[in-house]
Amino acid sequence: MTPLVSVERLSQHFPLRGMPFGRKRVVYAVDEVDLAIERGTAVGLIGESGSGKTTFGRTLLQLYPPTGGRIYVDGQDVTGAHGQPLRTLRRRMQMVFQNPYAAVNRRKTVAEIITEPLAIHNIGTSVSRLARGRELLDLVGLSSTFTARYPHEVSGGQLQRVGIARALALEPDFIIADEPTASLDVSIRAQVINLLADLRVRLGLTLLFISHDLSVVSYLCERVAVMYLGKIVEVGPKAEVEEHPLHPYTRALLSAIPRPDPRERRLLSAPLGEIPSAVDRPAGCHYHPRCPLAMQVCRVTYPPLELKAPGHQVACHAVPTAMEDKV
Amino acid sequence: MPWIRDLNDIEQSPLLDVRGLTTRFPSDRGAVHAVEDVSFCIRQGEAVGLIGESGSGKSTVLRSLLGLINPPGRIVSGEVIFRDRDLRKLGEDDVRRVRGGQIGLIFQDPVNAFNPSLTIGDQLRRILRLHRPGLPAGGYDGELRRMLARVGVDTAGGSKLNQYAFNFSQGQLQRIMIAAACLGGEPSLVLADEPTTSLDVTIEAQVLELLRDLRRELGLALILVTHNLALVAELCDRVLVMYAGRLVEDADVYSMFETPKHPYTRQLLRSLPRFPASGARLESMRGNVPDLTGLPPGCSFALRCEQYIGAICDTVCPSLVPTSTADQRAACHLYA
Repeated sequence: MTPLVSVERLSQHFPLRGMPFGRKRVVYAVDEVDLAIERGTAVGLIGESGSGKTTFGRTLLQLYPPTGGRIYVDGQDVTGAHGQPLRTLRRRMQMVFQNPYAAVNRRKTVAEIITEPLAIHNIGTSVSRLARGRELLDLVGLSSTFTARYPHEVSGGQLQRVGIARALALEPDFIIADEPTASLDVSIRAQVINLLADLRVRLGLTLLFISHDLSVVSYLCERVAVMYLGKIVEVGPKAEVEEHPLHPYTRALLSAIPRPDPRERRLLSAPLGEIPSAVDRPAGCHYHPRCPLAMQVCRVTYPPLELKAPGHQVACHAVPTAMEDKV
Repeated sequence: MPWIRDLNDIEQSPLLDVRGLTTRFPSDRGAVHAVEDVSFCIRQGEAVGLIGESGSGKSTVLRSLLGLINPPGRIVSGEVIFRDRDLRKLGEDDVRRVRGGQIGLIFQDPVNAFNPSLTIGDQLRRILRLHRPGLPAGGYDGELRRMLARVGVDTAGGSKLNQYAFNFSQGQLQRIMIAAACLGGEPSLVLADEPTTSLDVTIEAQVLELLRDLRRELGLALILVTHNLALVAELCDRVLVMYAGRLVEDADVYSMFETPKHPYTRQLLRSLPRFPASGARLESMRGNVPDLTGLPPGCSFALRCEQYIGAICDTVCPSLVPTSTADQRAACHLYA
């Protein structure tokens, strides 16, 4: 089956301007990433700040044009689409942002915010749009009393629901959610995670869920991709990645998550070092300076993303390839 | 776990005794009751987590302890007894010597906690000058290098001291702030306000490890303010749970996670995403955190409570009372 969305060697390099002596330097925010997202699945994209996960999501929507690689939707190459074809494409691909207060116009009411995509795409009349707005509010669990309110009159959790309703207004089949729960309180976060899980099933959505919080990804996604310095270092079925992480970085990341159980204290092996700058990435495997398994080859050659177990790809020289051995 | 002291051995007067602390902020819609009648004790060497959601008043409690409430906000009443002295009755000069000297402070955002126009060395030297007058003049830099080395900031060549905050990564700045808080003066208590919230998970783990080791080494008591229950599970001996400006539960860390008594604590723990996921769905808490300007007369959690027992919840505000479990108190009519 053709994946709904896939990318091949997708890159987003930002040139740094104003460097002394006219030196040219580049931020490798996203660097030759391959990823396929099957229809109806939810893929979690995790990584620390600076890993390029947000840039990847935005490049996928072509909010800025990629500097390299191809983007396919339903098998069709849509890279570089602009004008009407891009608008048609955007009807199918929508985004939910991290900070709901920053993602909406404070001078518009909730109803205006939600129905704005419909207005932009000239769908329906103002009356039918309002009716649709009420439907959407209902869909995300808000009563129609919210239509006339302004963003400052609703709570963060409620406004994130508004952001989700807006993303759903054009009946997209693909949603990119960029840390949609990061700014929410614990008791509200669960509500929004459940809402996204319900909507996925009810509307048959395909989801790319970007997060630094593995436990949230664990609830929502079937597949997990791990990003480090612009590269996907590991991708596989959720249970595989969680229970048998193969890349040393994924292992470090998983072991660093504090567990909410005082009987499971294990802060004894915090991973070494910090994530380097995406401008001066270490040569070879970008993780090698922090990696306990680093070998000579790691300092020289970037390892290819290879199948190491069924459906489970890893970019690491130290992990034996599939079927060779049990790791 | 050798670093957890047997609390029953310590029968001396508490290090910090907070009684009836109440802090309010005026607003257009009436006074915001940020902290209402909060009382608790911190024993010598004890690590206590102060948890709650945004707006629960946990950071305001921390700031009130040190008199760091900016007008028009005001500490309306309460006593803050630290080593047998009420900090609220001390003059500003004396409080300043306590603050940063006997009580260390770690803030959430290390980037903004430093002055961007002074070198790191200058800022740290000021701390030593104020709190360690015994150091010989000119002996500061050696001491600073020792402090930074202890928290894992490499000072080879000494040039790091002449650099500015923007020359350091967030993780390094947080380590420097921890050095200032734990090693700058001679503190017996360290207050940390969301010390790892702005950090990535691998850096967070490093910072927590550092904090845990320093605490063990120096026998420091700690108040860790956080919304992240996992940090409390990792680091603390006891937990104080706040909701809508009030303390609703006070328990040792194991009881809090295993037999939570207050319905809010119970519901909060159930809505926590576990890793790996415990099931297909999270249990979510209905409703929102109440508005602190117009709190109802009864229990402020009544509207969201699954164990609502009737009119008394709407009319009488419950006070913190002992429950069936030793060393665990809850503010709920279930235990009245």
